Amino acid sequence: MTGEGFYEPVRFSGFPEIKESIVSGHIPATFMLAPLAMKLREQGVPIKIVYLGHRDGTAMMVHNNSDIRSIRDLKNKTIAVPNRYSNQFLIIFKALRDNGLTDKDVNFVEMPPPDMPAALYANSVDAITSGEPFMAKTQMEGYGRVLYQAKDIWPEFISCVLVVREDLIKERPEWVQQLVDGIARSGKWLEGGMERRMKAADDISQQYYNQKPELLRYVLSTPPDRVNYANLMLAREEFEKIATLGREAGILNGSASFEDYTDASFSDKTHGARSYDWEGPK
Amino acid sequence: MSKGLRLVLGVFVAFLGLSLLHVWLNIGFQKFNFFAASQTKTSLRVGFLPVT
Repeated sequence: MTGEGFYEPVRFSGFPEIKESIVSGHIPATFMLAPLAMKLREQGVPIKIVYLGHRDGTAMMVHNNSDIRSIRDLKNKTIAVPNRYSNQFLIIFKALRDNGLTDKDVNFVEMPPPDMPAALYANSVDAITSGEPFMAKTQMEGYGRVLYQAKDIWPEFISCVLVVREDLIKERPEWVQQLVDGIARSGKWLEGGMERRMKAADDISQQYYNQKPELLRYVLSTPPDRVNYANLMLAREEFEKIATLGREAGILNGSASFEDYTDASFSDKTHGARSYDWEGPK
Repeated sequence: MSKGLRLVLGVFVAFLGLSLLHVWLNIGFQKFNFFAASQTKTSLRVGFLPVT
């Protein structure tokens, strides 16, 4: 897979492989689950979070004929999560606690998001949760039902963040800034109306996602705020909320601070970034 | 030295030379990663999972 710009996108099918690749230096930059990046930093891996990838865009799905209608109904059920070090796990942890349950009351299984729709279809698990488009796929194919959208429980939900190795920041800071600026300006472009979202869905569905354009169109329009690409700058209070919840859930130990796991200098420079002057794919 | 012995020695020396060349190229490409080095000068590899 080759990008048209100065960067080359490298597609993975699971977060464990992404983690190994950034730790080994095989790739110098990647999108990754926020708590996983924070955990790696706690373990001394020389990486920094420099920007957000998107907001919201996560749901929990159950089978259409499931008797699960509320969070309380998840007791003793099996839930597939992309990784234990994910905000998808933390949001369930919080929702269970708010409903008088704990994470010990459910069975978690880690599963690559692309495998989740088939697992739900086959009733191998009772519920699945990850980023889109895999949740919407179960809806479109008629066997999945939304239990909750992350944005309804955790407004401005953060899932994936852009992580770069410190040696890249040291050797090529202009590349990191160019990448961050590109995400900021692309996000502004996407938020410029539904027509642009549909153009983007058609363009990226095959090139990046290997999915039908109809699915990406559905994800970016139903409802229109299902995924949000505005305001992707790093905010201390949001990461401290993740850190606090991560400590309570026992997946983080608090040994790394906001300054340790982020470099906000690139994000700060996107303040006032303007949308690309782009008509969209031809 | 007989012609046959010279032939055997010649093949042996040629084989040894090729082996050394093979080892040197392997060290060059794997340890010093010539190909990767030339790539990182022109593009930034960015990992992603196809999820929003």
